[in-house]
Amino acid sequence: MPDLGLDVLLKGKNFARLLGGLGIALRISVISILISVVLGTVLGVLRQRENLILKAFMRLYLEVIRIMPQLVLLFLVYFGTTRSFGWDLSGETASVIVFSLWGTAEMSDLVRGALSSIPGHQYESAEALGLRKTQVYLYVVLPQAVRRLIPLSINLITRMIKTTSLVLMIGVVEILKVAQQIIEANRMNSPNAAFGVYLTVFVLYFLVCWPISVLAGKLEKRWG
Amino acid sequence: MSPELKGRGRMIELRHLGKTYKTANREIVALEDINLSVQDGEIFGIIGLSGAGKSTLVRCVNLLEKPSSGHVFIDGEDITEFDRKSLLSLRRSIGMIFQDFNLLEQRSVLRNVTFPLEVSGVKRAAARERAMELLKLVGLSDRAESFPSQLSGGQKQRVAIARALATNPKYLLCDEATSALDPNTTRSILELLKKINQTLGVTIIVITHEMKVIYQICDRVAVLDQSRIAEEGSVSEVFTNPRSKIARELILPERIGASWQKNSSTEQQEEV
Repeated sequence: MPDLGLDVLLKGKNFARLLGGLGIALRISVISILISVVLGTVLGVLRQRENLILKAFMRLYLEVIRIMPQLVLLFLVYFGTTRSFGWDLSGETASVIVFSLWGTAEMSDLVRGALSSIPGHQYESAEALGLRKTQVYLYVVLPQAVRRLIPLSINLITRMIKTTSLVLMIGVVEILKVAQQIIEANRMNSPNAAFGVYLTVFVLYFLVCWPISVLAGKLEKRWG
Repeated sequence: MSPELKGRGRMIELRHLGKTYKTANREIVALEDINLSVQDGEIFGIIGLSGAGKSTLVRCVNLLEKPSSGHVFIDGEDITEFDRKSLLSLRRSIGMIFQDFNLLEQRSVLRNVTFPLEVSGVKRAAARERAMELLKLVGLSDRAESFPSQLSGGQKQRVAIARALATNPKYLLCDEATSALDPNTTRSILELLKKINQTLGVTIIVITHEMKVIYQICDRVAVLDQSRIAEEGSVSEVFTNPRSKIARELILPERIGASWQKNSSTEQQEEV
């Protein structure tokens, strides 16, 4: 068995530091996801309305977010806006802003899609049963929309968690950065550590995202 | 509106009803000067080709579509003047079924039928009891715990009928209710509608493009052509002596087949 340099993780607090890094990555993800789900749902519902100004704004917003690589957005917010507007952003706050912008855009698209996939005759037959507008949404449209939405939004959530690895580029010391630091620090006595440490990072990401994927698969099967 | 129109014991009356849709560059006339009376306890058919305005017409009866002009009288009251609240309670007295059933996929058969009751505040046990009664009526007592995805088209339509009847409506609107079903299933659904009409005294309006549906269950029929009523009368009258061109077109090629269907359907066991 080749030397994977896994012993590095047992030195000092190395493994605890790695977990701490994972914690930071997860903190950024969870806050961004919460913001995205709430704002995205609101915007998604609003996009059902025939409001030209809102439509134009949303279109611009979505296109900008979709076209730009997340890394460029991170640089733009962290390095760009802090210089130009003179405010003080921590790397972590900048990350939450960028991930929320991105997540909200994608989420609003998913919500809009789920709502517009409910056929018009569902609204019609609900109204024919004598339901009020709010009841139509509450009892007929939402349960169906949520069923379609959950697998899609879980997919978005795992993508957001994975993409947080980019924040090391703006100086946030999350799991990948901690891994790099550990490897660098042990370059002399444990030159093979890169493989073992990155493998551990892989396993940790996997342990976080896999249960979510399984859950998505289950929900999809139950409701598909 | 002359007052004598109200007191004739006619339950659904459409007077000078018109509906126009406005699109960006033009107006589309869906209904023009429709005058109809549907009598208490009858099965009234409305037939026409696609695009003739049948669906719009039936939706004006429970105001799913708001007419652009004219009046809809139900039991002598002009419902086009109803406020939101009266309209909602009116809709509970008018059941409606559709071509594509529109069941709630995430609810069991039983809970689909109890749905309109739950929403209008009926107690769970009472709603359940009523639903089981209705499921028995439509021949689906044994499928109460199934989900819509486990049912055939005919069975789904039976559930939809049970649901439409849950709030004890006086009227039932059927918008192409059998158009998605095969001939045998169509026949059995029509038999069921007839049974409901006869045993519960529910007045039924049937929208269809198939002459045999009219022939099998309707008492009277109106033929709709290009947004207007081309002809109206008892089914036997219109069948034996169609006056309008459109009625002749709809009836004549069907007549031989339809009379054969009627004979064979009386011998056929009802499929459930």
